Amino acid sequence: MIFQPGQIINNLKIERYTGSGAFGEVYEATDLVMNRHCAVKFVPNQNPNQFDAHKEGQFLHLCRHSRVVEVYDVHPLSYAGQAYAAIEMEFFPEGSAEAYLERSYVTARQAIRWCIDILFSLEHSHANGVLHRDIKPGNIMISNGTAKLSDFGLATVVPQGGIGSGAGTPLYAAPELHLNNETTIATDIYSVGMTLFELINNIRVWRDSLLISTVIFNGSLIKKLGYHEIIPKKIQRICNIACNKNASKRYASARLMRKSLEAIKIDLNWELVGNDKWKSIKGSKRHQIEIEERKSKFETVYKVNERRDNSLCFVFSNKNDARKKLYEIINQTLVK
Amino acid sequence: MTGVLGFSFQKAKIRYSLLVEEDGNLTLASKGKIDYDADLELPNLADRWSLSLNEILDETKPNLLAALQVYDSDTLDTAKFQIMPLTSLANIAFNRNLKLQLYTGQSLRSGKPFGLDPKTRPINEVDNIFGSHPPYWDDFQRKSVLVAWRAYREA
Ligand SMILES: Nc1ncnc2c1ncn2[C@@H]1O[C@H](COP(=O)(O)OP(=O)(O)OP(=O)(O)O)[C@@H](O)[C@H]1O
Repeated sequence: MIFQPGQIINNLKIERYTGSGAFGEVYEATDLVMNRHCAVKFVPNQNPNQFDAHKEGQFLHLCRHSRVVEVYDVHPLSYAGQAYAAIEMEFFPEGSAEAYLERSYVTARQAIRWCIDILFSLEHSHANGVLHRDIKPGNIMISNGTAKLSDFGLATVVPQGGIGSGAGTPLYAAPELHLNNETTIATDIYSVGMTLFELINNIRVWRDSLLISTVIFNGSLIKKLGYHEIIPKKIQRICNIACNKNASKRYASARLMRKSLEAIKIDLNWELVGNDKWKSIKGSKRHQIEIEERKSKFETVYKVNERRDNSLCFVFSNKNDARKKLYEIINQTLVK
Repeated sequence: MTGVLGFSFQKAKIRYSLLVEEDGNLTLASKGKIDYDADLELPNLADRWSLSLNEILDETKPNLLAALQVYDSDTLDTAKFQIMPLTSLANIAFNRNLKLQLYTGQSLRSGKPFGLDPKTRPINEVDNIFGSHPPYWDDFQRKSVLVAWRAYREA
């Protein structure tokens, strides 16, 4: 931590430390001149007046959109002999989608809605010739049920031919990006696909072995891991297209991927609320499904407003079979 | 060049059609539908409508807007999905300084304002004049053409 709560740097009063990433530390702060609550990211740089130091802020300005984290200001400053670009932006008390995922179960509806939001912002930034290049749950900020894309720090203006130089986090990077270091609209789409994959499957921790394994370099990670059994084919299909090994087989634009996601109609938005216990609220109906164990029998019990629906209750002699059935029922009722 | 963007609203979908006039010829330049999650809460719904409508306007760049206006709502769904989205559109029209023409279902029944025989039902002429454009080429979609067509004639 470079700064302490209460400390004032230029016109920014540090409230508390939020976290840090590859580019610097983020603090919750108050802009004393504007009397504005904000988040400030301190990106160390050589020369505060250099164009590069303001790259993130400038790109964000170019990408201004209701689904992009708003940058209020970029302050060049220097502290303890180090120059920084202090990027002052909207503060998100709920944090990122990644933080959300660590705290709570992400329902299919939320995952899809967030990705639709991100695709809206990408469509806009792509139209302005800007690639994001580092889409991942950690760069998606959540507020009020909507998602906003943050961290255009790696963004680059798309040169002729639409290819920028490589960047990004390995897991979310398309196979061709590992190979030739070229970012394109198709590599951004791939990253959204991997983000969707992580969210709908509620993957909180990626196995370390995967992060160095060849599957992420040859684009077969999804195939290797497979989907959670509750995820219907309709959703899998969209993820698979976005993450196709072959860039030319992916969605050709953010818009096309968004349209596919918008066509998914969630029926029962199941949420994991306990061990083998799921619930979904639709209108005035509260659906619940769980496994009840008695006398070495396992029953999947389906209730609507606390009343059993016997047509959806099944008894098994082992828990795995019961769970399989439970997942099957969720799979078949998740989308229309 | 004049571009008129017509809208008709239904549950979970917004239909739109862009009519473009070039050298006196009015043609259907594009059409589409916006799918949205009808189960969103109203504040989020309103936000989604405005996000989607803005995106369509950015893409089609019309100079005139038209929409089907529903005034009798016997169900909550009618109120929510056929009437309320119009507020988002009206707000966008204001922000972009675009004129928004509204037509009720009734006012689209006679052929007269369309330069047709008064007894002709304009909706039945849409395919003859603008062609048939599947998929989702139904009366909801044709109504988005109708309102744009009528707004064009009155412009
Ligand atoms: N505007 C913001 N409001 C609230 N929290 C934020 C904001 N921006 C970033 N954070 C949080 O601050 C921490 C650091 O964010 P930062 O963007 O620097 O790194 P990152 O996204 O985790 O990693 P990377 O540097 O690889 O992009 C993260 O926990 C992030 O969720």
